[in-house]
Amino acid sequence: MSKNTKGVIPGFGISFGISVSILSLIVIIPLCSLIVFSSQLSISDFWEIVTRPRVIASYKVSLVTSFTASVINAVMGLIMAWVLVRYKFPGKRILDGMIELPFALPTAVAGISLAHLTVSEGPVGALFAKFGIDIAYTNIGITVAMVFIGIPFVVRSIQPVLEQVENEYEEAAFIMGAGRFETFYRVVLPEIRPALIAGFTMAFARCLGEYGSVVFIAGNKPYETEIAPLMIMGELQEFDYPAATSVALTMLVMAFVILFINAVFQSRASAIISGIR
Amino acid sequence: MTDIKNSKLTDSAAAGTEIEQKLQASDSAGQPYVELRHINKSFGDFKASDDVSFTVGKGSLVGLLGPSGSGKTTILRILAGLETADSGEIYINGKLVNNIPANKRGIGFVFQSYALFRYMTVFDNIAFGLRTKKAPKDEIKEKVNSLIDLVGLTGLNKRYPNQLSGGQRQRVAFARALATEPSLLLLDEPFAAIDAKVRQELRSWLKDLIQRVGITSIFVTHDQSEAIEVADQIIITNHGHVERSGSPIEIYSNPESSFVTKFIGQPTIIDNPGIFNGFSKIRESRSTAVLRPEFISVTKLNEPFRYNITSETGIVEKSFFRGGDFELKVRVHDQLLTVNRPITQERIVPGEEVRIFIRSLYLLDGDKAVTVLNDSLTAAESTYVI
Ligand SMILES: Nc1ncnc2c1ncn2[C@@H]1O[C@H](COP(=O)(O)OP(=O)(O)OP(=O)(O)O)[C@@H](O)[C@H]1O
Ligand SMILES: [Mg+2]
Repeated sequence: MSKNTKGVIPGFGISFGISVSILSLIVIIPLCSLIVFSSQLSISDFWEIVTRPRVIASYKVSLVTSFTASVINAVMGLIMAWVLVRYKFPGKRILDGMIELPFALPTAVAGISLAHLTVSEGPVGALFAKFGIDIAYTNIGITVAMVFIGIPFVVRSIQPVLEQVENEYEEAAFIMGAGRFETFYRVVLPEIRPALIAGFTMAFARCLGEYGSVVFIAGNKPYETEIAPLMIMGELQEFDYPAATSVALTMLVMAFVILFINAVFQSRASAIISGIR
Repeated sequence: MTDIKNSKLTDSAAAGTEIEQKLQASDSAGQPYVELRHINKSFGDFKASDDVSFTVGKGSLVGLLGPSGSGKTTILRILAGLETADSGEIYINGKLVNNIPANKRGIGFVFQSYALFRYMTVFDNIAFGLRTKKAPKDEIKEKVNSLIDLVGLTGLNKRYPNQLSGGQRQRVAFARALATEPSLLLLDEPFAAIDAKVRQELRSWLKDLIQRVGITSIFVTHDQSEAIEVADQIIITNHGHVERSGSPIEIYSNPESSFVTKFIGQPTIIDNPGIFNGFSKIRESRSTAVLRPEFISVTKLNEPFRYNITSETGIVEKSFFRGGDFELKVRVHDQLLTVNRPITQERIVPGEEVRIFIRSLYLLDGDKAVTVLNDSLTAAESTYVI
């Protein structure tokens, strides 16, 4: 809030105070405790823990699968949002309501049922097994679980924005000679890009931290299908709190970087839209 | 229109000439360039276009005028190819275009809300059509810059639409529609989103520019003064059909149909016109007539007046200041008439008794409207003739 813009709703002081208090209570204080715990270690110990080969491998697994899943989610989510906004069809409301299911379901339930489906004896797994593709207990399985939990983020970010994109936009492009693809690429996509990026990064950050639904399908083979949150659980089970928090802190930094990139992009986009120079 | 605007236009004239020449209608001005034949279009069981036929001469500026919901936008969208007619033919430059999609019709369209691309700068918005045509980069640059100069937005190339005023956005929309050198320009209520003062300015600006560029244009409006001021030809729509077509003067001075009479000008509808002095020849007491302020003169009782016998007296109920005139509401025979009194004449105040002389009126007869003159004038004329 700049000093010369007076909002319509008064009481900036109070609302700012409330925001900061809530943010501190539920976000900043717990996060700070992470730093406090891990600061019981010296820097070299910290570094040693967070760069153990097995931990490094788990970062890689987490990053690669989360990224892949989020890319898939971005594409699928965009298509789903498009279908939900632009077309009328029977069962549309039901489909719309089902988007949030991954939010509502206990993640373990999702993980267990996905694992059951995709093991080589399961109905889906058997199908892919014929082509020599294993889903459960591989990175593919991890990605599948992450796609499952990430999809609502993308759909729900894009949907309201897409509803705002007026038909006239596309018509204007069409009249100026643009074909379907060009209209989408040059006119519609820029409109929904901020929402798409927001959805992508939220899904990405969520996938990085996802534990419950992934561990059941991951197989958790050291160096291969262990995700970073599992490393933290591992350390916790050995009551090595400083080690657990160190890995957690590293992940926190990753998530923060992702969300920061998103925030930079969003503020650029909103500057264009709100006309601030 | 202000002088500033004028000088701006002359400044940009040099930059504009090149485009002007390119866009200039080659030679055959005045020939039918656009023709609609028996266009019908229904949305469900609602007839939005009902046997619409009209022609538009090459290089002319046509105003589609009609009340809200009368199907103006629908006609424009059918012409542009954004909507398909259920039946009827559309010819542009002698060619049947029914089956040509909108992106191949070579039409420029300015949307009511402008539909500027928010994430593109002014430059990129205007360049859009040229880029889809894969025009060479330097050609695009030259063209867009000269258009920006033409519409008087020099220096604003890098702005985004939300950093522009309403009037400036309209200019961008206009330049964008012109960039691909369309053969026909369609504008849907181009001034509706702009506040009154700027609108006045933009009207003259647009008319001037369209004439200089020489492009055949059709614009939609529901503001009659806009149509009268800007258009060479007005097409009046009502309930999806074309009610009347003609030059502004023709339509204004000879509305012909009952609908147009009640729509154009500043009509006051009166019942039983036969009771007014000078119109006793109208026998039918259930008839209605339309009066316009310019048909009525108002004088103070002490002012000398020529046609005393066929005038009326009435009581002024209200007076509104309208700049050059006072608009007076005068009650005569229990009906409220609207008359104008120039500010230069002695003031007439509410409550005052005044003399009213109705020179003529439009008598409505079914769908038709006929002009009826005051007896004094017909008598005077006949005397004059003899
Ligand atoms: N896509 C559509 N579906 C259903 N009805 C429509 C559609 N488009 C237009 N109509 C109807 O057709 C009629 C004419 O609409 P149109 O937009 O052409 O009117 P208009 O003369 O442009 O009015 P306005 O001055 O309010 O813009 C309206 O009654 C409208 O409700
Ligand atoms: Mg309209």
